[in-house]
Amino acid sequence: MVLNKTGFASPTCQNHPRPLHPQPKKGNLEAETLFKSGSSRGIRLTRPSFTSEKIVAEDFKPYPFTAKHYPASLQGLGSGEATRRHPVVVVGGGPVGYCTALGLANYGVPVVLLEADDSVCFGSRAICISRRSLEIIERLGAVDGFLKTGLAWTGGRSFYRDTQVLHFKMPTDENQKLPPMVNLAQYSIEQFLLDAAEKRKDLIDIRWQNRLTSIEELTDGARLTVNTPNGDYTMETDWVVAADGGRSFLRETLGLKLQGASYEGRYVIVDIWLDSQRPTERLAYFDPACNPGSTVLVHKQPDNVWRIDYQLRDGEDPDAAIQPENVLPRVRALLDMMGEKGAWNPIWIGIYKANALTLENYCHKRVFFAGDAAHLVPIFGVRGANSGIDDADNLAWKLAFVIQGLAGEKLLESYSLERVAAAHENLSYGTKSTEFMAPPSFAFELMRTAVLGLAVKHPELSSLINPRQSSPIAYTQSSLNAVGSTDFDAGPAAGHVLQECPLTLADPMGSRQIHLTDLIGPQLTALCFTEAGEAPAELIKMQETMHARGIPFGAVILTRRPGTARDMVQGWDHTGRLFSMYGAQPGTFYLVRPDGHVLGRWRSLDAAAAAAAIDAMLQL
Amino acid sequence: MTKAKTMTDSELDGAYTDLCKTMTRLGEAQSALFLARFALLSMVRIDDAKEIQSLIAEAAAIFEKTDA
Ligand SMILES: Cc1cc2nc3c(=O)[nH]c(=O)nc-3n(C[C@H](O)[C@H](O)[C@H](O)COP(=O)(O)OP(=O)(O)OC[C@H]3O[C@@H](n4cnc5c(N)ncnc54)[C@H](O)[C@@H]3O)c2cc1C
Repeated sequence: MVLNKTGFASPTCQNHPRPLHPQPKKGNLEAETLFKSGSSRGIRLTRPSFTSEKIVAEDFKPYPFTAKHYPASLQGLGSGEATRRHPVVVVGGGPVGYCTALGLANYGVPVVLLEADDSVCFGSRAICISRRSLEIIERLGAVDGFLKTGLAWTGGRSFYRDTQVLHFKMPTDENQKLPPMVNLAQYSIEQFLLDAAEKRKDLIDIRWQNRLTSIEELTDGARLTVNTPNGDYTMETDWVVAADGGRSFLRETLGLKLQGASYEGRYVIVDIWLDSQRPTERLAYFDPACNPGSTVLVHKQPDNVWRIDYQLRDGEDPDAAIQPENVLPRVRALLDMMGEKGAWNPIWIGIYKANALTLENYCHKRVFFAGDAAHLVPIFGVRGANSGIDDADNLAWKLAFVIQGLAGEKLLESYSLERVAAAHENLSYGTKSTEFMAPPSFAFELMRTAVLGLAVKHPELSSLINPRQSSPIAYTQSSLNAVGSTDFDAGPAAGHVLQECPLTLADPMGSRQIHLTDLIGPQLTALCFTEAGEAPAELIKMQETMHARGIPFGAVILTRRPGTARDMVQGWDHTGRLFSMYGAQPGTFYLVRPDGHVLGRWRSLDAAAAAAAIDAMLQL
Repeated sequence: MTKAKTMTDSELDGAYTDLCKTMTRLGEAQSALFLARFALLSMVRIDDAKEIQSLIAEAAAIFEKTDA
């Protein structure tokens, strides 16, 4: 239960251990207990119920965001549903459900999206969105809001008591188009994705207040039962995407189990409104004077909302720990320690316990698991939503290709193989961050104290304090990777994501500045490096063959010298950095998957080998 | 130290986690003896009395610092 904008306690966004509703909406396994203002629903909190007079001024404030509430979609109850068969149903309208639906729409695949709730999420959840996610979201047509409203940042600082022990920078240089990270509240993340989905009404049918309540698996699809406020209906679909969050109904009902570790340490999560000009960076305080023995994280969000996470001490009762009378004095002590003198108000209080869990297979007959339904990654390192967005990006094109008959169903197995491997990598980083942020034993605690005390004089140790923020993951072991040429001295190998670089697009209407990733669309992209734009005949032929087969394929000519615009998309390496970054000479050829991962690369164009790599990928 | 650093950050990370996990397994009561054994083995491996002396002084520094 949480406090809503009007100051009423409302059971909206998360699963409470003792829910007031039999089926709490907007499942969130991780934020397990939330601030309770009392035992009954709807206690008015015009002023928080704490006693200390000093706290009176710190009244709760609403979030600076008003979620739109959507009426129940009753479309499924109409007579048409019984006679229709849908190609895909996405279950869950969280970040991952929206990204999957938008991804499928990019290929013209119609999607029904079922969402149990009536609005975007409420409360504090994901706030840090990585460059890789932004790149994906840009391809989904939703990035403008993220960049306009989100707060870009590049690094952070960690303190041990009152000494700075680490100042880290995330990789960023003049080649980048997008910031390494933006901070944005999850309600806005979902809203911007939802706005983009609403623009695709022709293909994306969002059904609010439609809760999936059962699934019957058919040989070539599934029959779903959906509950609405006006009654139940059934629908048939060829494919199902389970993006129904940490407490996934589909995972549960299909009897699938997450594997891995759960951590005991708990964190209190507080959103406050604070008038401060402090820059956006990640701040971590170990054993600070304001909260001895604890670890405290501080993040700035848009509109003067600040997120504070602090570790509970051993033996502290979580229910008591989230009461305002226990939380607010700690927040005030932190702000005093930081030298923040501005006015502040609490907005929201919750509690978090880290999990490092994943399914071992994300494909279950006709059902694909993605996002929190497939894996739960600790929040330290911000890989939860970010890895789910990558799941969606990986799944959407593969599913679209299969639905459109362009690829065999075996291609879908690579979704699970690639993304389960990625989850293991994310979990190993997330686990390391968690073990440092909330030491799981006396030994981790003791060693951390030693590291923090030595790191200033011995910077060789400071990498141990680094929060290992989300970074792109390479599918190095993917069976889709083409062998290609092995003698490259630079550039992304098969399975890796592209490295960003500015380019000048040759355009008959006038050339303009772009970046390499702008050239990746919902298609296979062939990057052909040339001296001045002379397209090899083999490439032209290859493009024609692909188009004749209906395969979305786009050739891009990259030039060392400025060239004149011709039929093919053409980018000039005006900085002179692209060729060396990719280990390229005229003739070098990269094949890029629709999700921006390299499929294969060749020192010089070998159309037969490239076509074979594409055929192998399509698994026909 | 004069020797060039050969251990990568992620190797250091792995070694650190290994040490933490081993100590967790042995239990708190054994941790001082475990660390003492590790220190002795490291000494003979470092094989440089002066270096060892300066490491001892540095490891002790936080305990000997006065607050004044
Ligand atoms: C405190 C906290 C901080 C976090 N910080 C970060 C961060 O900084 N960066 C980051 O990347 N991640 C972060 N995360 C993780 C992030 O919030 C999740 O990984 C992300 O929300 C997962 O998205 P999802 O779409 O898979 O699931 P969800 O967002 O949980 O969405 C699932 C949706 O499915 C709906 N649903 C559930 N069951 C049904 C059903 N039967 N029928 C229909 N609909 C259903 C729900 O109502 C919900 O809307 C954080 C999480 C927490 C708790």
